[in-house]
Amino acid sequence: MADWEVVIGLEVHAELLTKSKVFCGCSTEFGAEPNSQVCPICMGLPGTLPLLNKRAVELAVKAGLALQCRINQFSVFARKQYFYPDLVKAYQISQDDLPLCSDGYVELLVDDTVRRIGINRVHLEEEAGKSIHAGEDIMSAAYSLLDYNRAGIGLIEIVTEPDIRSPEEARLFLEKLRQLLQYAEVSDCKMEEGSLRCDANISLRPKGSSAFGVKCEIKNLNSFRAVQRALEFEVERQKALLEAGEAVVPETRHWDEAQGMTFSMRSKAEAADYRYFPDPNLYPLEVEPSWVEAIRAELPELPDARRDRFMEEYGLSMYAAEVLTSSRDLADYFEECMEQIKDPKLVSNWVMGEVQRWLKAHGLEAADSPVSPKDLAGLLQLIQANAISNLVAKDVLEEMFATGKSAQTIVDDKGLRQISDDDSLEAMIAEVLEANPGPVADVKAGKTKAIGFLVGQVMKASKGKANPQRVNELIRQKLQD
Amino acid sequence: MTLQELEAVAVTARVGLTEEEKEIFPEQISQIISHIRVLDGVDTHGTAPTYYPIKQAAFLREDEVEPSLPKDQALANGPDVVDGYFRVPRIIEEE
Repeated sequence: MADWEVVIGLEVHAELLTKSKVFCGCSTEFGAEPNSQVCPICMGLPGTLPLLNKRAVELAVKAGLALQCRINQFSVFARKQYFYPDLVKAYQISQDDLPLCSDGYVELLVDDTVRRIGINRVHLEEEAGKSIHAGEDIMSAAYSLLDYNRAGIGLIEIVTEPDIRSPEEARLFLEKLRQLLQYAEVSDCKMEEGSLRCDANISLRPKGSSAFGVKCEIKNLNSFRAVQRALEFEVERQKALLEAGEAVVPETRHWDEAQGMTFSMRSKAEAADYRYFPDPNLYPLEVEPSWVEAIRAELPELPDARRDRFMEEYGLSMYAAEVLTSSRDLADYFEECMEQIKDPKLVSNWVMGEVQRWLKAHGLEAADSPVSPKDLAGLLQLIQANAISNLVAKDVLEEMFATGKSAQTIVDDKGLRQISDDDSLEAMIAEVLEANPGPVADVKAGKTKAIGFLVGQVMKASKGKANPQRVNELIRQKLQD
Repeated sequence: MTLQELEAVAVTARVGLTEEEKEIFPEQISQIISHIRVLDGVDTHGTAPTYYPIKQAAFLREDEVEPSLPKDQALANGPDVVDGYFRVPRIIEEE
């Protein structure tokens, strides 16, 4: 059996974070009543003229810069013509042979190797409307309902080179792309709200061959997991066909999440020929180098650079730096906390561990955390001052997330302050030693393991408030001297 | 232009053709194409493509929200409106 090489290219659409649409002043706010954010321009009524949103251009350029692209000083809007109910004008204003950004790349860490995925282009275009299909899905729907609030929202299309070599790599690429676009504040990239969408082209070829095989386009990929699963399914489907000596049919296939399969999708609208031509309603877009530089100055420190700086400046491991810079929010959170507490190990452990755990449990992003970086610093200061143990601190943080109260208040209200004074500790230790003659004898006989058990008993008796280090010291003094 | 090509173009453009049109259009369109083909003889070597007849860069507007149409007006021309949506027939072709 031949060994196959998987060849994947992605087309990703990301909605731009502008307040108004790309060619008219309608609001882009998500979740409004259907067809309440439309006007003659985005509904494609005759006699209207589109007027380009300056901020949309800036955000598209920003995306291009974050993806290491060349920004083309001269680019042209073109009409992409096809018939589909969500496309009011029967053409989409897009860019064809002269896109805004070209020839970039994204670098990924895959199995400890840096992989560079080429970006063919990033171009600016407009969103289509949103269809709601009656029944289960588009395949079985008797009819569909159309909401044009989304029609005309600014969109970038990012097209990769066919450089991706596995379904997992496709998912990693998308995660990295989302990270970059979120850092640059180009798009919020919410796949569940449809502000980030992905179509995938996939083909197989015998290993060592340089010619491409016949590809299929996979649509309806609504999550990062769906992208990987659909491509995994498609690899096996195409492999089975090729190994049986059959041909792969070049076609568009629909991913069915529930069944975990792709299906051939023949649409009435499927037109092979989009008949692109320059849109006569829009002059060519000219982006002066000075404007590009002004936009570049708006770019924040990007994730890879920030990760490297975290390793350098705070002495964090590669892993910790990766996790902390995975989102801009989390990295900001860490750094704001670091301003109060200059202990990178302590802060990074807490942010990566307990803080992320509770954020996840409450379904929140770091930016929306009810426990601010300053609040967390307050908690960590109590640990540093030996006022509470690590164990108690974990409970206090949980309470902080639930009530929004400060660490100090919770510790005072519940009397959680750590017991560190020797008199109180010795009284507790005396009781524990008396109640556990067996382990005491073990320790005296040199089996130091039993010390851990005794410390545990004191901790239990103190409801976690005893200072475990001091308890350990005191028990050793008592039994080993 | 052959009849086959004519029918393909008509499908792409969603234009219906009568039997009579199918008779006469291939010949007529062929004449138009051959007339325009004269331009193929022009040497455009070294000439940049013209994307727009006037030398003018795109005008830009600030990113500000303006009022949209009142909903009843937005839906007024819809032949089949349900719960504030435009209703359209089944999209996917029957097998």
